[in-house]
This record gives sequence, C-alpha cells and structure tokens, in this order.
Amino acid sequence: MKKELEGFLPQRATVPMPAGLAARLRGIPETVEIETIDCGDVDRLYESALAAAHRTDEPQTQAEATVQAHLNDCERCRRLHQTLRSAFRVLQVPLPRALGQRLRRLGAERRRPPWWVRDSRIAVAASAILTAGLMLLPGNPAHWLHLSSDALGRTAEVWTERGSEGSARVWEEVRDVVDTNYERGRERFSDHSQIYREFLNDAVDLYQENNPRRFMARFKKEGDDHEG
Amino acid sequence: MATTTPSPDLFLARRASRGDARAWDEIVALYGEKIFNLCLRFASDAAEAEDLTQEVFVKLYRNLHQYRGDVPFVAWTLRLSRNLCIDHYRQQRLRRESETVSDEILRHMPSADDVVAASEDRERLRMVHETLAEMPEELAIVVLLRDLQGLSYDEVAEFLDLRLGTVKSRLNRARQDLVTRLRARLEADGAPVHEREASA
Repeated sequence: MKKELEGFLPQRATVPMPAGLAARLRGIPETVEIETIDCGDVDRLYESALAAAHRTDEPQTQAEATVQAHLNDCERCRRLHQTLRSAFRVLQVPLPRALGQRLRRLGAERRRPPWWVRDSRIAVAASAILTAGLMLLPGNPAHWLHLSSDALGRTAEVWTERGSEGSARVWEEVRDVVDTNYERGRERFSDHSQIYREFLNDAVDLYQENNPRRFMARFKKEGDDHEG
Repeated sequence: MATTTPSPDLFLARRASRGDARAWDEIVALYGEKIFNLCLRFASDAAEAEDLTQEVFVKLYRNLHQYRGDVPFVAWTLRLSRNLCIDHYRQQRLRRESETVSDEILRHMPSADDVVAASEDRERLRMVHETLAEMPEELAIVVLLRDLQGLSYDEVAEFLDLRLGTVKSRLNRARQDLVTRLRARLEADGAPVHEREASA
C-alpha cells in the first residue's frame, strides 16, 4: 500500500463465524448419508478398499469412506481385505551382507567383451599372422615376425580394453606401439615397413568407423591377395 | 547447437563399465536391495533369491556398456532382470513348491503386537501366495510386482515390457481374479484363522 493512502482506506475486517454455523459444520459427518454399496462394488473399488483397510485414521476420499462403511458391516469383505492388507504391506528385506559382498566382487572381475570385439580380436590375431607371413616372404628376419605380432597383438588388446570408450585413446596407444617398434628397428626396416604401416593405419581407421565387418573383410582381402 | 548433458545414471554406468570399482559399489548399494527383494518374490527361498540376484547383477555388469541413459537406470535394470526372474518363477510354479512364500519374507514381516496377530498375518500372506500360484502366470506376476513388491506402474511396465495402459488393464483383471479366488478360499476355510488355531 502506498504510504500516502494510509489512513484513507478502511482496515480489512475479519467477520467472526456465527456460533450456530460452526456447530452446523461440525455436525456434517453425522448428517451426510454415505452411499451404501454391496460386496461386488467393494471388489471393483479394490484400491480404495485396500487403502481403507490400510488406514487407521479417517478415510481420505469419498470412495474410501464408502468402502469403510461397508467393511464395518460386512464380515466377508472385512476378512478378505484384512487378508490382502496383511499380504500387501510392502516389505523391504535388507540385502544380506554376504550377498552385498558377492555382488561388489563381481565388479572386480573383468567384463567379457561383446561378441564383435571378441571376433575382431580373432580377426586381428589372424591378420597378425598374415602380415608376419608377408614380411617373411622376401626373407625378412624372424625379428620382424615378433615385432609385427607383438604390435598387432597390442592393437587387439587395446581395442578390446578400450572398445567402449572411443577411438582417440586407442589411436594414441596404437601409434605409440607402432612408433616404439619403428624406433627399435628403423634402420633395418625395409620397404615392407610401408605395408606394415598401412596395415596398422587401416586397422585404426576401421576401428574408428566402429565397423568390425569391414575390418574383417579388409584382412580377409589382405590374406586372399597374398595367398593369390 | 543443442548439447545433451549425460544423466547421472549414465555417468555412473559408464564409470562402472570402465572398471571403476567405486561406481560398481555405488550401483550395488543403490539397487542391490531392490533387486534382491524382487528376486525374493520370484524365488521360493532366500538362498535361491540370492543366486538369482547374483545372476541379475552378472547380466547387468556384462551389459553396462549398452546402457544409453534414455530410461532411468533402475527401469533398465528391471528390464534386464525380467527373463531371469520370470523363468525362475515359471520353474518354481512347475515344481509347485509347498512353501510358495519365502521364509525370508515371513521373517521380515512387520511384527504385530501379539503372537496370535503375527501368526495370522503370516497365514494370510501364505494364503495370498498360494492363491497367486493358482492364477494364470501373466496375472499373478502383475499382482506380485505391483501389490506385493510395490513397484510403480511405470516400473511394472518397464519390467514386463508392456504399455502403461496394458499394465493397468491387466492389473485390474488380475485383482478381480485374485479377489474371486481368495473369497472362495476364505469361505471354504470358514472360521477366521485365530479361531481355527484355537480349536486346533
């Protein structure tokens, strides 16, 4: 209220409720007739009946009040709803401590990778042998067999471990493996290094596409080409 | 460009799937009890329920990486546990176990003030489970989930892979069936439980 209007406007008044009206309002529960229902209606008013059977205080809704009135008079329905009430008290049984420990231990076990990762692992292992075979064909030393198998094995491992996380980290780790191997044998690595590099690049590209089918097809082609 | 913020559930699942032991512990702490209680309803005893819970969690762990965060994690977990729980329940119904309610549940029933009332409560719970065992499986399961286990309608729908409307109508039919069968049992039994026990 604006200050300049104060004193000009009448104060808001509260009119007390007449004593007779208050008494009439209090008497409503005794005067209002509650609708009567039969046992079939109680069955249809299932939720209200359960609520009424659960309740120890006053009914909350008209339906509950109606059912409550019927339950007070009908032994059959009272027994039925006492039975349901006993059964439907929602019980929460605490988790047994030993079971909780068993469940927590599950987390320590390594998750089995999904089928396509497992299959790709096999594909990568197979392709490692193919690549190694490629390198051996022109008479490369066994050292390269070891290096290529190791690097590709690591690729497969990294793929399996990081499969659900995304490609960036896989790429970093694979590059690390490749760089380490190249560094070790840079001088001795002949023209086959290009094949090897392409092979790994393809592996990572196909991983990034998240396309195991193409990945497997790519290495099958590699194998077919060199078998041919 | 609109960006989507990953839900806390998704973040938790991602961490656990990458092998973060604390994230997995958190999943066990958050959902272990709920799944165990669910399994208790589908198993005939506590040991069986524990094994079933472990099976559900093994499945959960193996599938964590597939969680996309599009539904709440609890709903997704319930969906994953569906086949295991229902298969188990089916076997149990075929075996027609004499005890259709787990002792573990009976042991944890809120204790009534007096021994007679507690015994009556247990007897009633047994009677409801026995009645459920007589009902068609699809109706019994919906009552088990909603009325006995206290799952929300949405959770029941997720667990059973049904639409919400279908859950409600099926639950309605199931309750009518339960009430009809239970009335028949109670009438066949005659006197209230405490009166029968007193006369015995």
